[in-house]
Order: sequence, then structure tokens, then C-alpha cells
Amino acid sequence: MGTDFGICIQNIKKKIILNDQLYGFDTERSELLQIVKKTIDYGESDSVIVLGPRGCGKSVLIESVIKELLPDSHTLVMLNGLIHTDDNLALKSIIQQLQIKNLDGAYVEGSYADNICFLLESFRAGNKMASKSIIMVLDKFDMFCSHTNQTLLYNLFDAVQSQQNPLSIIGVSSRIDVIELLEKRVKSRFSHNILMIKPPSEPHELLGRLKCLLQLSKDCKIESDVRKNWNNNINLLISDPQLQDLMNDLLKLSNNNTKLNMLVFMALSNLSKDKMLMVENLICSFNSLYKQDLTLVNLLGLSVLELCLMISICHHSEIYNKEPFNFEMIYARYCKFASRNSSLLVTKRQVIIKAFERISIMELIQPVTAIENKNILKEYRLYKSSVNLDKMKAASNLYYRLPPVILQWIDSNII
Amino acid sequence: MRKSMTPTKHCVSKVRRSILQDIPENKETEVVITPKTPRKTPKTHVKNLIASANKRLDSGVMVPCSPLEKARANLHLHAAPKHLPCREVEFKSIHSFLVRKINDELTGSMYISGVPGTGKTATVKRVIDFLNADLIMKHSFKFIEINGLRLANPHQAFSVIWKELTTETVSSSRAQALLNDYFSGDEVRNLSTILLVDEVDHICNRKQDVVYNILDWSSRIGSRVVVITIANTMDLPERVLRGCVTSRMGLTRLVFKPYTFQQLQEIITNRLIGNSSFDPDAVQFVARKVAAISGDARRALDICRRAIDLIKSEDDIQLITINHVTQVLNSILSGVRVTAIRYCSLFEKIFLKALRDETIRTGFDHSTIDSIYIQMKSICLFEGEQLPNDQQVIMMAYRLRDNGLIFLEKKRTDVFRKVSLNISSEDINYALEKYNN
Repeated sequence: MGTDFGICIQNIKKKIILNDQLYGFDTERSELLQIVKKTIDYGESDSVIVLGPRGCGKSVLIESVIKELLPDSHTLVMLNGLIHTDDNLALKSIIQQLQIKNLDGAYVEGSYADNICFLLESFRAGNKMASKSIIMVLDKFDMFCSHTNQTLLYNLFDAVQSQQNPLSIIGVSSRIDVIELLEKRVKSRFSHNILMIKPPSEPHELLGRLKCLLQLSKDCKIESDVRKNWNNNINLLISDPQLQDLMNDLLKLSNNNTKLNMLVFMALSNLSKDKMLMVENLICSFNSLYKQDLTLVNLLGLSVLELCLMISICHHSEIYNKEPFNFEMIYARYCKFASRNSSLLVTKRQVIIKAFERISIMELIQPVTAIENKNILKEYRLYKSSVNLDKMKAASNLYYRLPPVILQWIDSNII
Repeated sequence: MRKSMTPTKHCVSKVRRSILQDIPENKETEVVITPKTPRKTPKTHVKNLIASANKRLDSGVMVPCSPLEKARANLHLHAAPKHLPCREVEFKSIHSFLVRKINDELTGSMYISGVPGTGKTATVKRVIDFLNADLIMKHSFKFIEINGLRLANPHQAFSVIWKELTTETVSSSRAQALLNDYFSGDEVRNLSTILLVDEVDHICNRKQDVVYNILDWSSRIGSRVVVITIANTMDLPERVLRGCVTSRMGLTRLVFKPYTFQQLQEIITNRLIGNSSFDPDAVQFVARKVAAISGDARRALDICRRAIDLIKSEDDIQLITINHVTQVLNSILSGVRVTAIRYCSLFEKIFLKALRDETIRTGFDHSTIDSIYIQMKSICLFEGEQLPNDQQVIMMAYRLRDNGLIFLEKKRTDVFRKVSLNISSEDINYALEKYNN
């Protein structure tokens, strides 16, 4: 068509990477904003936990609420359970973030006892009337619950309940039963304010989200006719029934928003500059991301010897009902087949050992024990197969120029 | 390598000297030093920082004006009145104990126990405030408070107590020695020391030397120490502590029972005096519900505050009725696990069903992902869905683990990984059945 959609594509990809637009959740957002504003305006401390499965928009929600507040009205402290794996690390980070003006780029050092004392004193030094509120965001809240004695959580929630510096604690977690991980004392001090974020459950919600993602708003720096062209095409795309089926399939698989983002990103990356986004692009990237069976692809890349070994492994699993096997059993079975059928297939033992090792490195078969026992000779180590016979049959049908002897062998009557 | 050649007093040949004269002496030559690495990011020790709070930058905190806002402010835990309602008996008991010990210049110890949220620390603090307000008693005692969960380790208790006594910062072993000396009873003390040990079960380590030392001070005549220990379990001295420690703790025990619904009702109405924004039926409903579950005053007050939050500012409602309170209670008390199951995608629900069926079939509480996959195949055949491949099923297992619904074995990551349920099969049945309806 000639029109350059490159800028549109770039804009949308940037939107996906930054991932800072909140779609929906208006009630939850206003609730959270109300709670935080009450702390800032009235000086009443409070605590709230935001729960929801992974990828449903919790962090984006909190970012958008914090963006709405004036930067001078509060001190923001961000903690993450994956980074601050210990109470001491978390305390150091809190002190650094609270005292960021006084420290001027320096790191904080001190023992655990010093840090706790300092933090408690800083909290006690504030009062409701004249101190700036502190807003603490604890990401991956469930990991904080596994620290020893939950000391940090106890002290933070205790500070919320006492008449000290106004403090607002926002916990974020994907474990919906995180309240039960809290100790009884900590649980009693927590205000049981829970905000549940619901992931999309109907295809039309996903469609709405997709539309929001793909449409370009007026503040992108694109000429208006290109933008209008793009938006019209997107509207046509959204109303396509094939796309609705695709969204249905995606929703059945997972209601994670990142999966949708990845799908769109991949489809956009495979577009050339002057092409419009069509349903086929989306379907193609869906198949390659989520429908493709990688084991099958691996099987098609094996050599004929390795394929034969895999077939004998599958036969063995079928006969012995998924019992583990070792190299010697498979070697015996393969030699029986090879010697009976074709002299071309008979090879030296070392070659077959190497082929077997290659299969085990590719993880088409897994060792029975998680850690391999080095005391057993490698020919006698036990393995289990993760590939079953149907997949082998499918792979052998697709295999490029497989000798027909082998094809017959797969379907042969297994005794 | 040229060494410094100072001509010695022995004979140096003329030839040598002439050669040496041309070579300049070993002056302080400027050696080119390799450039030094710049200094690392500077470090400040926590002790050099001043513990202060940032000041508000605007005009000041807003004062609640509407009755709803005033009610919310009054329902906050620390807005409690001077005398806690429904704890008068306990108040008198602690007060008389302390007054007796101070006036008679005796030592003593008391153990207070009760489930969280029953007002133990609050009552003791109120007694101390009352004693401080009494002009006669004010100058005859000193109050020190420590909390077991605010210490980095049990031995730090000594340095904290010493710091509160004399404002000196010393190490914990030195503080232990100094305190043992201070409370040895050799010197005559003119002030009684009231020591409050909150969350004492966290000070009891394996050796129990910290709690032994603390209670030992109260057994020495002349030290004039009164130790009040607070914990949650009624039988802590008998079950956890060693015999020598238990005997020093003494038999003065006070149990704070969980609040009954009448008491909770009284507490809430006490906070809302002069405020008519709560329907008395709603207050009674909250009180009954919380008393049935735990008898925790914090819970009751938080639920009432939450009910106020539900009312948005645009609505004209100024009265909190039973409906608001019921909404809050439903959101708190409803099964989170059932909600979590309902938030799963279709195949994740089939995964849970398959895991439940496998558990019932084999009788073991764990299965592997590949046996679940086979079960999922038959369920999908039944429901008419096309099963995704096994890598996608492994991803679903990760998602369910992040939701807290299943446990995954840590050692393996392939398809033979062991899986076990974190929820009961009844929960799964309930959630998935209702969904179908």
C-alpha cells in the first residue's frame, strides 16, 4: 500500500515494553487512592495488601496510584521480596530510602541491631501532625513472610498501629493465601484490608485490552491520517471473528496479560514496514509461541541412529509399563532389531553409547534420581522417557526420508 | 640494576670513579605511579545518622470534620481512651500489684498471657501512665520497656535495658555484666525499676540464659526490680521454660481472656461517643461476628473502619448500616482459596481436577506432572477441548504454584516433577461446581 506504518509499530512496541498503562480496575484504583490519601491528608496510618494472580496488573495499578500523588507530600520506600531476601538487607534499604537527602549517595552500613534501633527511633521521632507520611510498597510480600520471626513485618505493622510517623504499607502478592502465612501476632496487627485484582475471564475483556493496546492516541507524534488509517484497520481487526476465536483459545490457556503482550509484540516484530497488522500474523505468532511442540521439533532433528534408540526406548516403556530403563536394555533391543533387519544399521557399541548420551543431554529422557549417582557405571544408570509412542509415531511420519524398515518397526506388534 | 654507589673508603679505581662521575646520583627520582582506582562509594555508619522524621511540606495535617471522618479517626487503634473499657479488673490487679511492690520496696515478677488483640500491652502502659500521673508515686519508680521482636537477637536485650537505664551504648556482654552488678542487691536503691518484657517468648532461646538473667534480678533482695512479662500462651512457663526459670517467674499470673461480644460492643460504642454515624445493630453484628472468631479488638475496630471506607464521598449516606458491615465481613471471611481457583484459566482448572483425581486414585498425596498430563488428556477428551502440549502444562504448574494452590518439588524442573495440592479437594469441588452453575 505504500504508507509507512513503521512509526505506528514502533510506538506500540514501546507501549508494550514500558507496560505502564492501566486498563480497567477503576474501582480498585480509586479505593487504593482513597486509602493512601487518607494517610497523607489526615495522618492516619493504614495497611493494605493487593492480591491477584501473576500478570494481572497489580504493580501497574500501584504505579499509577503513586504517580497521581504529589511528589512532595510523601516519602516513598520500595522494597522487593526477591531483592531484599533478608531482614537486614531490607532494613538497610529502608534507611537509605528514608534518609536519601542526608546520605547524598553514600551506602549505609551497620549491624542488624543498629539498623532496627535506628528505624524504630525514626518512626518514633515523627508524629501525626507535623511529619511527612511514609508510603512503603512491599513487592512479593509472601517472601517477606519467610524471614526469621517475621521481625520486619511485626515492626512495620506495629508502627502502623501506634501513634508515630504516619505510615502506609501496601503489600503486593500473587499468593492469594498470603494472610495465612503471617504469624498470629502480625496477623492481628494487620488491618485485613485486601484488594483483589481479578484477571480477565471473558474473551471480550481480552479484546478490549487488545484494542486499548493497539490503538494509537492523539499524543503520539504521528501524522493524523496515518494514525486514522491505522486505527480504522485495528477496529476492523477487532471485529474479525477469527480473532475472537484466537482470544478464546488464549484465555483457555492462560489469563496472564504478559502472554497477550508477547503475542502482539511477536506479531508486530514480524511485520514489514508497509504492511498492516492482520489476523494471520497474530495466529501465526500464537502458533509459534504457544502451540508448537518443541519436543517434536527436537525429535525431527535427531539422527537415524538416535531416532531408532528413541523408538526402542518407547517400545520398552510400553511393554514394561513405564518402568525405568538403562542403556544395556536399549542396546540389546536395538541390536536385536538391527541384526534381524539390515546390516547397515549394525554399528559399534561406542557409537551407540555416544548416541544415547546425546539423547540424555537433550533431555528427551530424564534420569530417575534428580542427582545422578556417580558410583554407577553410566551404561547402567536408570532413566525414564518423557516421550511416548504416539509422539514418536508422529515424528517418524514427519521425518525426512526415514528408511521404511524403521517405519515398519514402529508399528510392529510389540511383544 | 643500578644500586646506589657511594664511594667507600676502600680504594676505588680511578677508571671506575670517572665512569661513576658521569652517572648522576641517585636522587629522588619521580617514579611514575600507576593511577589509583577512584574511591568506592562512601559508606556512612548508621550510628552517625540522626534518626529524624521528615517534616510535612504543606500547611499541616487535615483535621477530620465530617462525622464519618471523625468516626474513622476515633476508630484507629491508638485513639484509645485513657481507661480501657472492659479491662477494669485487670487494670486494678496490675495497679495494686505494682503499688504494693513499690511501696514495700520489694521485688516481684508477673506473667501476663492472652491471645493477640486483648489489650495486654495497652493495659500495662495505662497503669504506668496512671502511676506517672500520681504525684506521690511518680518519683519512686523507673519504667523500662523491651520487646522481644524488636531485638536482633535475645542477647541484645541487655544492651537495650542498659541504654534505657543510663543512656550508654555498650555491647551486650558488657551490658549483661553491668546489669548483673547493678541489680545485685548490694547497693541500696532508692528507685524501683519496673521492667516490661513484651513478647517474651522470642527472648527464650535454647539456652534460656537471657530470660533467666532477667528473672534472676527479681529474685535478689534489694534490687527492687519488678518484672512484668507478656506472651500469648498461657502455659509458656511450664511448657517452654526450664524449671529454674519458671520458679523465678513466680506464680503471679494474669490471663487476659478474649473479648466477648458485649465487651467488643462496649469498646466500639465507647470510641463512637457523640458520633451517630454507626447503626447500633451494625455494631452489634460486628461484635458478635468477631467475638465468635477470635475476640480480637483490633479486628473489630478495623472492620468498622473498613465499612466507613466503603462509602464513597459522592454518596449522601451518612449512616453505616448492617449492609456495609456485611459486605466487609464477606470480603474478609470468604474463602480466598475458592476465589483463587475461580481466577484460574480453563486448563489450569482441568489441571487441578486431574491432580485431585490422581490423588484419589493412587492414594498418595503427590503425583508427577506426566501422570497428571495423562489424566488431563482423558478429562479434555470428555470435555471436548484440545489439550495443550506438555511444556505449556509445565508453565501452568508454575502459575498455580505462584498462586499458592499447589506445591512443586524443588529438585527437578522436568516433566517428572512431583506435585502436591495445597488446597483440599472439597475446595476444588466447591469452586468448580459453582462455576459450572
